[in-house]
Amino acid sequence: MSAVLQIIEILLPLLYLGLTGLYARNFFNQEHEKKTARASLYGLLGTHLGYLTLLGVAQHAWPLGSMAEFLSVLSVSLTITYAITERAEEDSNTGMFFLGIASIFQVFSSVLMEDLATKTHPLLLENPIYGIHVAFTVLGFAALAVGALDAVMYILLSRQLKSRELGLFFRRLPPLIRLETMSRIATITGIILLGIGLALGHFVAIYILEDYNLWDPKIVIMDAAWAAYFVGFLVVKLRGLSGIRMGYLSLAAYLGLLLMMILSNMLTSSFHSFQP
Amino acid sequence: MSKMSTEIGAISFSHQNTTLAERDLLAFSSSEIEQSLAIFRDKLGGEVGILSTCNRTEFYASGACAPTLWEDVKDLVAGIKGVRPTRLPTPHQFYGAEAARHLFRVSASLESLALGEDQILAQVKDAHEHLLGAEEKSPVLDQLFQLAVRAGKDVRTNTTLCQGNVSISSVSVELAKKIFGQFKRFTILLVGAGETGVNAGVHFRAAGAKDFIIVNRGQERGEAVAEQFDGEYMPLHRLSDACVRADIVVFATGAQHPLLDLESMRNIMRARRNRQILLIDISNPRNVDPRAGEPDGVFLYNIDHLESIVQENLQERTDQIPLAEKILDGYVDEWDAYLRARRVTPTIAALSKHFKSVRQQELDHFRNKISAEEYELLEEFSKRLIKKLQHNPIIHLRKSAASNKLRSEDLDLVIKLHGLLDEDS
Repeated sequence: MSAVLQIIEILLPLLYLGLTGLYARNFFNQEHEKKTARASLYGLLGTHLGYLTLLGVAQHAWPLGSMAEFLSVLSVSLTITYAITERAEEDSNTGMFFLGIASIFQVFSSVLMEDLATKTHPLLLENPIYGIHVAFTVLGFAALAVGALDAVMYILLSRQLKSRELGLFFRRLPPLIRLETMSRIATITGIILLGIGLALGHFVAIYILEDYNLWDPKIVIMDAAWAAYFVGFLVVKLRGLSGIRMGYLSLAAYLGLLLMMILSNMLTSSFHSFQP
Repeated sequence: MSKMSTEIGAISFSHQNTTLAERDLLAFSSSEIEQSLAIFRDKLGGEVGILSTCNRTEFYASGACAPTLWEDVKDLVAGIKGVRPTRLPTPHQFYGAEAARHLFRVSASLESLALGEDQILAQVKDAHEHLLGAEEKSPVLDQLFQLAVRAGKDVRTNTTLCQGNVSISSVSVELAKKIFGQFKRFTILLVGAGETGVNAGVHFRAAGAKDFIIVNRGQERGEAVAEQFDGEYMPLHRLSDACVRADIVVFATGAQHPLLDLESMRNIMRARRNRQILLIDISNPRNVDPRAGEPDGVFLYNIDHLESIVQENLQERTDQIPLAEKILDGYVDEWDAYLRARRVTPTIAALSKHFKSVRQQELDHFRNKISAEEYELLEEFSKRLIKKLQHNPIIHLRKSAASNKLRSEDLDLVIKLHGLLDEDS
């Protein structure tokens, strides 16, 4: 099974990049390959979900115990979100953006993934509340990523409209107001889900772990990042910032969150330093 | 061979060869078409179809299309329209495959004044409906119009010839859609109640806009237009208030100085809490200071910007013409194949009739000489025999016609061998 998992780990980033290329080709050339792209999208989702199931079976625990696994689940969550959107809106023009970011997460996941034989997983994964904490956290990250991507598309379209050079983004992207609304809804959803995820994490840590330290740098960084996101959103609401400024802020906030994640991960060797 | 030719001819009056007044003179209303089809048919002794739109009036005929088609119907057209024949302009005329290609090009909107416009396909369908509704059947023109409608749809589906807007009003609506999506929840402000502003308002209402504010210097005219759009009238000095409420603002006044500058726009955006606003300035001279478009969330387009979008869209449509022509080539081939198949149909029918006649003559010869059971057997036998005898010649004729290998000598030989001409006479 280990060999199969390793092959899929190599294959997944390639499949993601290939699919992103196919969607990009459709975006730039408006070629009639939408059916092929959608079939490939479902094929990729099947492969990725199958891989995560196999990984879970092989290690007898949810595949959420390391940064690599977290990124892989984040990647598949984004892809599922996009697949649902594409089906509901019958519009595949945003696929290039969603699958592009999902590809980046999956590339990092495959690079960071440890060998199954040498890998250990936190015992915490056997705790059901911990599972819920991780699920909320992953969904929160995915929703914030969707919010940031919609913000990117908003910025691109807004700039074309402002400069009156109406190119591909004008022709292919959804209306500005819809992008703004989707970005706002996704960001609020992300802040709430991530907030619940972090709160549950604290709960698990306080009541289950004996050596829980509230001032663990990783916890402080993640809590501060969430609080910054929350405050930023309040400022936007109260001050009524323009759409483009909100777009830049949303993008910057997400990049900041990713940076915080990377930094906090670099501070300790495992995803959670407080594992028993 | 059939005496009736299946060649077609077309007479075309359009923006390419007539003035607007001449086109108005030649236009046929729906009821005029219904009444005239039978008259034209009697005059020409064949099928006739009429396509009449605001930009073209065309006659299609099948059956007796000499190169003098227009001369044959000129007096009739003049009579129907109540003018002297000399007042009628000279049409473009097309015959055979060129006539078919012309109708396909019309249907695909390659011949339209606004390249790629959508209405013409529906108008070709209407002409086809008139043809089908006529008392006498028109199998050849029915096939031609069917192909034309299919060709029009095919070009629209497989090229981008009809995409992108090519009028100032429709480009304004397209722009607004790209910002606001749909207009039900948004407010349209028309600054100026002249024809241009009203025309833009009509486009927005057709696209789903419900909420209108009309700002105009003259109160009476402003209120009349507001009533037309079920909207609200506001005087010109309250323009800033109206801009705070509106999402899309169309400026179309004759004002000689800007009605909106950067400072007032900044104030408006503050009051709007930076909600997006689209300013469309189709006035000449401009009503909006170009610097008013600077604040975030303001999208300002004046007549020059819109005109340049129209030109870009038109160029993109023009680039699609070779692809559209290639698609139409396929339909011209299909039309040719139909005509070829149709040319042998009368010969096949005559051949079949000839064999049936011979069979019947021989059966009659035996009718009272054998028993009823024996006669029944003979009937069955003769039926099978002529079916087998006809099989090879008919298949050969059909295959040769379909592959365009049928020579007129071959057809003559079949006719002579079976004495089909004698039977006809």
